[in-house]
Amino acid sequence: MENKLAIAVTFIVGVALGYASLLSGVWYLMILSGAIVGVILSTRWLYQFLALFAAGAAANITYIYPLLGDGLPKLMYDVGLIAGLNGNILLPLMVVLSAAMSGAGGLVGSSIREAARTRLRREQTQKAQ
Amino acid sequence: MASSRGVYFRLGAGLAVIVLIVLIGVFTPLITLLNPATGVAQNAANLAVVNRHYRVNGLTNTATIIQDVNGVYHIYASNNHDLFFALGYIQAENRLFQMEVFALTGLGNVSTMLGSSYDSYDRFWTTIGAPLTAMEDWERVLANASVNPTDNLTATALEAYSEGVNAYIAYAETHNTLPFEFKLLGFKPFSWTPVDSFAVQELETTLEFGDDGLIFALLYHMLGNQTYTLIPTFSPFQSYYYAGYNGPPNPYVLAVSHNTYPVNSTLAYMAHRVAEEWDPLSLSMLNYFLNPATHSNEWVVSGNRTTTGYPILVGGPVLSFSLPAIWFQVQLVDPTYDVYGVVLPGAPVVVIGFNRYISWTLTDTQAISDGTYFWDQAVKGGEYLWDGVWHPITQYHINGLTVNWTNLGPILYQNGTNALVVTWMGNTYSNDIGALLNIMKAESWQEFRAALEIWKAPYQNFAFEDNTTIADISPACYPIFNSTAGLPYNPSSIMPGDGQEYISGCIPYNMVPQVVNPPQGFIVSSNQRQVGPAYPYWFGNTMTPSPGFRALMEVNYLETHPKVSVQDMMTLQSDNYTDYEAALTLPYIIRDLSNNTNPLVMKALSQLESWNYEMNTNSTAASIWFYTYMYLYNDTFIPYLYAKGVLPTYEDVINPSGMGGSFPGTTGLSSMDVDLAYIIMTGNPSPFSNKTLSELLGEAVVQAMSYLESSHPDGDYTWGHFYGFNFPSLLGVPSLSVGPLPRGGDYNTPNDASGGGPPSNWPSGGQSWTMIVSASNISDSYGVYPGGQSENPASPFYSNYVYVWIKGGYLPLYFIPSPTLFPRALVDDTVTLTPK
Repeated sequence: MENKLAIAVTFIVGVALGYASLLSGVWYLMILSGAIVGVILSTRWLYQFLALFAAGAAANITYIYPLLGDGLPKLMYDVGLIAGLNGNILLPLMVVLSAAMSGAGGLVGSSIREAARTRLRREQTQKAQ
Repeated sequence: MASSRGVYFRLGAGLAVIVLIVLIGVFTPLITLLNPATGVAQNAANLAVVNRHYRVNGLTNTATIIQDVNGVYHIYASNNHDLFFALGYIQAENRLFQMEVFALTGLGNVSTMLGSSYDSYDRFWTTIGAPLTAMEDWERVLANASVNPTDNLTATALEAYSEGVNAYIAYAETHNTLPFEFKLLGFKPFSWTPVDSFAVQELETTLEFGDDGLIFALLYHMLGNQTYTLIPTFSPFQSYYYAGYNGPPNPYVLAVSHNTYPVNSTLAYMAHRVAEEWDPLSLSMLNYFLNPATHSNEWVVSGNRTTTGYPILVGGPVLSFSLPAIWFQVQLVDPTYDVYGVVLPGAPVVVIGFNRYISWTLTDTQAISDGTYFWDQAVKGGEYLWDGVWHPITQYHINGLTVNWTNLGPILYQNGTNALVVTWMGNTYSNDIGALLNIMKAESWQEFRAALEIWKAPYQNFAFEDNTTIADISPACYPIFNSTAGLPYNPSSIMPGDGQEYISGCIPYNMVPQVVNPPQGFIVSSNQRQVGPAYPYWFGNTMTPSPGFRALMEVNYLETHPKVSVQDMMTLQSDNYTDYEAALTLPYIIRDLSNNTNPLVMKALSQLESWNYEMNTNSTAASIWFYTYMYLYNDTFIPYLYAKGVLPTYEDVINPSGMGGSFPGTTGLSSMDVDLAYIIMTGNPSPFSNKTLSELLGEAVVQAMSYLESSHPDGDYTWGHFYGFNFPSLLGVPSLSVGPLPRGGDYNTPNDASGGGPPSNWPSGGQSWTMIVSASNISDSYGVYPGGQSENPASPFYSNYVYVWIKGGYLPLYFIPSPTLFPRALVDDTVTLTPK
């Protein structure tokens, strides 16, 4: 139950920070948003990674949702063809990249947090000895 | 320890993914393109059909832009400045990428956007002087604006238009809605200036650029005086000249036309090199302007021959197709203007259209060498020789190139002390934008004609109608050639550039081809020669652009239909596939072959005898006619050209086939289509072939039938398998192109363009804007262009008109004087621009 709550919180905060990153126009901030969540929220790394991966995708979908009805899929399809790519993969690729940035950021964040905690513990143990 | 290793492994994995994504961003445009906030996704915002409100710097009052249900923009403003500002804004919203491609092309700089593969384009435009002329045109307009009302109006319009374009660029940059092509190319749009508009207008002028003079010289080098048989000065068929001058050829004009300057090997070498490099075919990478075998239609019928009692004007300029199309359809309304029509993306003037008093349309003129004249001039050590005196060559450094000019124009090629120089009338100062701005508000023929007096190039026929008047005029600076030696050399070829021959002025305005309310009650000006052989000025030959059969068909229709309606005109323009050359010559062919017992010939004749000359998609006889004609053409002329050495020596620039070059990879010479028809009707193939016409015809029919039956063994070789249209995207991306789509017609019909056979060779040109305006009620006007208003391929307005056009359909042209009177049912969306 506790895990589920932590995952939900991670996801929600991840979506909020991810959306804010997209609003800034600097897509790479998705990495930072994932890392921040990874650092500040403590849960099992795998759950955290999955939650942030999903959060990145959700933030992206939320961001472009208003454009979906305006012909975005057709536009992305056409642009994909011009760029020499399969026109169908461009839109999913965008979402996957957002998810990967957020998820990878989360991995780095949680690793930093755990490494810091391990180091702190080691220092405390050394002091105690 | 194990836990620690896991942490570092996860850290490494996360960093690896991040590094990978960053590397993708560094080495590919993918991250830039796919960025949800700034990438191409935001271009979908422009696809939304919603009312929009923009606060912009530069406007003085509110301007309202209504897009009607067909996609046409109706712009309402309270003054000229705001009207052209709004036009610039809305055009940029729909066509910014195309506009910048156009401007860069006209300025000889398109390779900076599209890459080095467009270098030949840039060299072409730069060398012929287009960017220099665009800059000089604007400087002269600006300099005269305080004293010349037309220049003042031009400056106002161009500056306001530029402000509007730039206001949209600023908006799009802020909102990340620049056309996705900019994002794909990593190109930042430049700020629009009036020079860019003149550059776009220059592109229209280059419709007229041609290398006919070089081709004629090469033919003359090989054929001598037989060139005049191959390229006759006057057509033996043409009997209708809209501006008159019927009668025997003017002896002086004929003497000039048959007095060609000797073309020695050096001159032929230079002509060949230049033709190789500059022939429009090799420059047709962008799908605009440079299609060498496109023609246009226009006719106007007086009230006493229409069912309403008022004139009807029909326009059908034939240009290369592209998506987005060359036209953008608007209505412009302010206290000065209330005009409807099509504008070029990048120039704020209605080129073809109507207001509540008049309507007008344009076609290319026949003959007169495309306004491009070539000279053989001596040059040495940075000087050129003229009248026995050496003068310094003027050098221009532009677009990284050095262009050398003599008094006659730019040097195209230099071989030792010999230079080939071109005088291109497109470099003549001509405020075409000002002329069109005045036409747009003209209320009578007098005002219309007066407005065109400053039109110097390109060579165009302007058809006109108002309630009581029909007229046509071909305004331009048509040079008058003189010679100190007496008789000038033929301007259709290369001329001596030593001062002996010179341009002494232009044909006076009251003598350029023109007619008002002719007694026959109609005027047709569909690229046929405007003036008869008796015209006292040299006016070119039959070489380009049209053999005239199309115009003859239109004249014949109007002569035989004493009362016509708008519906009749639609039928004639878009649903009449009569090949008039077939109508003229097929009876002779059938008679000649009547005794031929070859089974294939008999089979062909059985179909041709009952054929109505209509190039319908479901006609097998049409296919037989086309291929018979094409093989007859080849069998008659190609051996001759080989025998004379024209082929293979010049096959890279002279590689003709019939019907304007309708076989793949070939070019057309209108004269030779005229020649072939004449051969068929006279039965005499001499001097081109030693065979009899019967022999040539029999062989051609057998070739045609063998080809058709082998390519379609089921016998279903209807014309729809061989003819139709392609609509390529601007940059030639197949997935953004439309077609091939079958449609009737051929080179000799109003729906004309050269091409045929495999779908890849179907024409990508045709009537680029079909417009019918009834003077009885301008609300009863119709038009369509094959394309769409938006350049965004995901827009419903990208190619929607193509599907109307391909069926020969029309859309109503809603001419609505104010936004408050706009019927709600006709409104798609509204854009409101207010001052910031």
